Amino acid sequence: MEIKILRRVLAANEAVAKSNKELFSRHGVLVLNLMSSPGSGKTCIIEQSIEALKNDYRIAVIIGDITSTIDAQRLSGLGVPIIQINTEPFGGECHLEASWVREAALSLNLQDLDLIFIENVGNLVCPAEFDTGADKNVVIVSLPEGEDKPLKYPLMFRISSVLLVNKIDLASVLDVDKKILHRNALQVNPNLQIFDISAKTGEGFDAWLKWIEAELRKKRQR
Amino acid sequence: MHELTIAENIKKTIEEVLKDKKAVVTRINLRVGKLRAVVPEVLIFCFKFVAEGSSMENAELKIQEIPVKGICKKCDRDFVIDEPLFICPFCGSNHVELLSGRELEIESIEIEEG
Repeated sequence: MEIKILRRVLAANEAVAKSNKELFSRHGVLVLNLMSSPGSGKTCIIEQSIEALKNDYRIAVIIGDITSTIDAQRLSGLGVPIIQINTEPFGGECHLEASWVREAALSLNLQDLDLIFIENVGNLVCPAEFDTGADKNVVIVSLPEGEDKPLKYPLMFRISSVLLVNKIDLASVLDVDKKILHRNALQVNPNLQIFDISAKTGEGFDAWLKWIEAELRKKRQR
Repeated sequence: MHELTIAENIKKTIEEVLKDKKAVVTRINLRVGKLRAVVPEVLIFCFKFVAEGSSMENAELKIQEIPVKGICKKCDRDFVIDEPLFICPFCGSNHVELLSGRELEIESIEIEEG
């Protein structure tokens, strides 16, 4: 006997993501979900962004990592709340699910926060599948990764609002054409906002920080 | 390896549908959009693993792959997208909205009631 059921497989995650969105709205917290391959500079970008913004805004970080607490330790010197989610002690999930983000968020004093950075697990495939409920998705590609990441991982670039091209201080020693990377990204998603940055030198950070501040203002007006 | 989580969610969803009904699941018909980047063989492998010992351990996972289709917001024509270039083949506009390709759903299951 065949039974028609028509159920979305990830419906449970999507429902939690939706209630996360409501939770964040209720507290007026802007939540940015940062995703990239391993080694693109997520932690460093978060570190530098917090340094620049922490005097004016109340910030927290939710970090997803498969096993280690290395990134959390690295950020602990910043003096902002950090919640670490280890997806599995022996190398498990490759993404953050909405329910884990919810649990982490609920352990923070949301009413005392303006901004939360989610550092997703380094991976360009799986995190794109699992909505966390963040306000905006930010995808990071570092210049050494080449020009074709948007074409290889289109869903990630479709669901993101911002592309940060990191490590542009290396441009002179690489055979990577930034313009081709931009063009590929915009072919996949013409609405992407692109910022070229170097978390090492601080180049290009002004525009990225201005974007965050504009989003913070929008969130408050709502 | 999102296939493992997807496999677990398939099992959970079917358990919710069947509740306490005593039935052996013989087939699960899935619709998976190409944009989901699901590798069918890996999903089948993962599902075998998570379904072991349950009423669906011998179920055949039938995966129907759904092509990525877009509609151009400029000229209103729709088309199949074979490569990750979201550009209208008719007018060259990049204002393309997706019509399909992100599906990940259980369409139906086949069971034998016991």
